[in-house]
Amino acid sequence: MLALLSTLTADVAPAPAIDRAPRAANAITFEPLGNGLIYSLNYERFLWTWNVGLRAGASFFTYKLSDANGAGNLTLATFPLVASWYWGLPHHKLQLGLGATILYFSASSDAAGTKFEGSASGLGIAATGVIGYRYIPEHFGFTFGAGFTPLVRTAKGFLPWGGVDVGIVF
Amino acid sequence: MTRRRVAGIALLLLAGGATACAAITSIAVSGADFGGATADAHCDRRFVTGDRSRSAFCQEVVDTVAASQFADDCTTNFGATPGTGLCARAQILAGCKLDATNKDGSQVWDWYYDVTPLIADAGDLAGPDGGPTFAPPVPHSIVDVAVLCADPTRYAGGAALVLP
Repeated sequence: MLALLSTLTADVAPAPAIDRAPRAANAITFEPLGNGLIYSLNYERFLWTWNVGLRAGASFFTYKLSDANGAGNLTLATFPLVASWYWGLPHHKLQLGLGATILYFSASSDAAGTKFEGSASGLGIAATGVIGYRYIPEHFGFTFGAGFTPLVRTAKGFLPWGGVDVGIVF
Repeated sequence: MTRRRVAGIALLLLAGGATACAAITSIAVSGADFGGATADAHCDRRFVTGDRSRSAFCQEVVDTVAASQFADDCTTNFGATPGTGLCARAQILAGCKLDATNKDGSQVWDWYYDVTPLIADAGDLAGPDGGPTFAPPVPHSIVDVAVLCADPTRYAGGAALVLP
């Protein structure tokens, strides 16, 4: 009997291995344009139990407009914070997100030191969102996406905007 | 590949490049404006430093990302008086709004003033080398300003008369 069982066991093909490793829960991405306005470097934490991703990013841009001696740079810094819900196939996801982008703008100055500030200079906040596609591997790998990322600001109204993002998940 | 085909492809690439450039500029300007980078600035040519010619107008640029550059050009090129915001409205006769819109989406107005009180203070010939205090043209009425606005040698891209 034991010999028979042993033979039967040996003949049964091994069950396919089930991938029980948890999905990658982190991503680092670079997004030209998008919720960070000009660009942003982002960290996103995925909570796959709820199919949610929480993203925080930052960007910094400074540029000297005038060639005159003593003229100062204009500076723009942004900090996008977005919560996204992912839906779809394991790798191919629809992304729906909402959040806010904190903006800081410092106006440029001329050679005499006069700052030319507009109505939206200084610290501000814009509501933002994302509707897009995102490729997310289950484990370590390359991720990318593209979407509509509008921004809304009291001082400036609605900005129809978009972005693409590339990065890695791990 | 024929020469004609090569020329066609080159033309297509050029057109595509120009369109892409325009699109990128437009996107950058929209983003800069939303971020708060645009401001108003003026260059008052009535008040100059050194041995420079005075003119009877002030130029203002509205919603420009290059306000500081405009101000430095005002000082460097004309020795005139730059400032934030719009030109002073007192003593304005009328203005010319330039038809062309700058690449950054900003618009330009030249406001012409009644400079009679300034000439009375400084004298008729207080300009460089004993010349006139204000370089021509010196308008005295709205009609004079209208003539300036319609002058293609002064406003090649066209300009419309506006009142303050």
